Amino acid sequence: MDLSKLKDLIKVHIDFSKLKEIHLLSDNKAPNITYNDNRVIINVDPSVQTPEILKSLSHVIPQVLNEKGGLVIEDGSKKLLDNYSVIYKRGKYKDLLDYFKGKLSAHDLEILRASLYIREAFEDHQSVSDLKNDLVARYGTRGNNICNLCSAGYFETLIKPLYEQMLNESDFTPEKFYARYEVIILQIPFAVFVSHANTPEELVSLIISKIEYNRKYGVHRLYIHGIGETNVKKIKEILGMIKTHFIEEPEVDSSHGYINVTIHY
Amino acid sequence: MNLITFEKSARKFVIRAFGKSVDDEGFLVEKDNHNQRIISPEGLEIQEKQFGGVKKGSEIYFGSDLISIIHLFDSLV
Repeated sequence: MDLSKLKDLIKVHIDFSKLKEIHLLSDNKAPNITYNDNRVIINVDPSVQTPEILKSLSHVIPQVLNEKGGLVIEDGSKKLLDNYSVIYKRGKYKDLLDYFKGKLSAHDLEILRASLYIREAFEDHQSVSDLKNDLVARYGTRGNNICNLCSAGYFETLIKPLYEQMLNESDFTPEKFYARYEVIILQIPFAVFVSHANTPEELVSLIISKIEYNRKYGVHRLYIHGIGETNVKKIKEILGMIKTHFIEEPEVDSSHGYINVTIHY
Repeated sequence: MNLITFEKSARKFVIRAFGKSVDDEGFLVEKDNHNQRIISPEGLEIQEKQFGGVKKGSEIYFGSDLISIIHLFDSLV
């Protein structure tokens, strides 16, 4: 790459063979040099350069793409790329993604992958609201719901066990799993997912507070999901404990290994 | 040298360096044809405020949102 035009940028001598990066910024200063891990970086504010310098810069920038690994990238995007790389290399969620490959649609797998990154970034105390907004902007309510399911660990504790449970049934088909999975994705804003950790009393309290919350905003139904015989039994027990809240009989879809209930109040 | 990084304030300068411009609605367009919007590898039009950069492969323009950056990561590994 022809860097001779850059020599006019910098008034001090530098070894151009060590020049790795040009950083365009807004500091109203003359171009200066910084060093980072043996990398020479020229920092330039385009808004205060002469037309001749700007012409040189404009000439050099596209040429970077001719170099091996050439990349022109905005600072925030670079930071996100680097953060993503760090988390990806930990490999913590590779197994989960491999598990769901072929079981979920390509779009949902992509949303799940992004959601797992958001979850880990959150655990690393990074700000994630913009990242979640990106997901919702691209994938709408579905993106939002899958992200929430992922954050709550439900892909590990609910959806994967659901698949395993259904796989054992003699009439299992991938379509049957996908139909139940779709129900979970669509219902999460109005659902309670029962885990082994919840006692019946805790669940009753949770369900009633969710009923009251939903009712405040004009929502008069609640879905309850559970996987595993213990949770199926627990939910059936709870239904008896809260039946005074129902305006009609709950709809129950259950086998010995999972249960989905719709209650109306 | 194989890396140019830029603050948001320099977005327009970088866009112009590649012979592109921004239309009235804020989308990246060809400088000589404002009716032709630049698209990302996913086929999405790119707004200036969401312009993430350009990578090698003739010229591939990408957005700054999470999904675009994940795709960029995949293409670089």
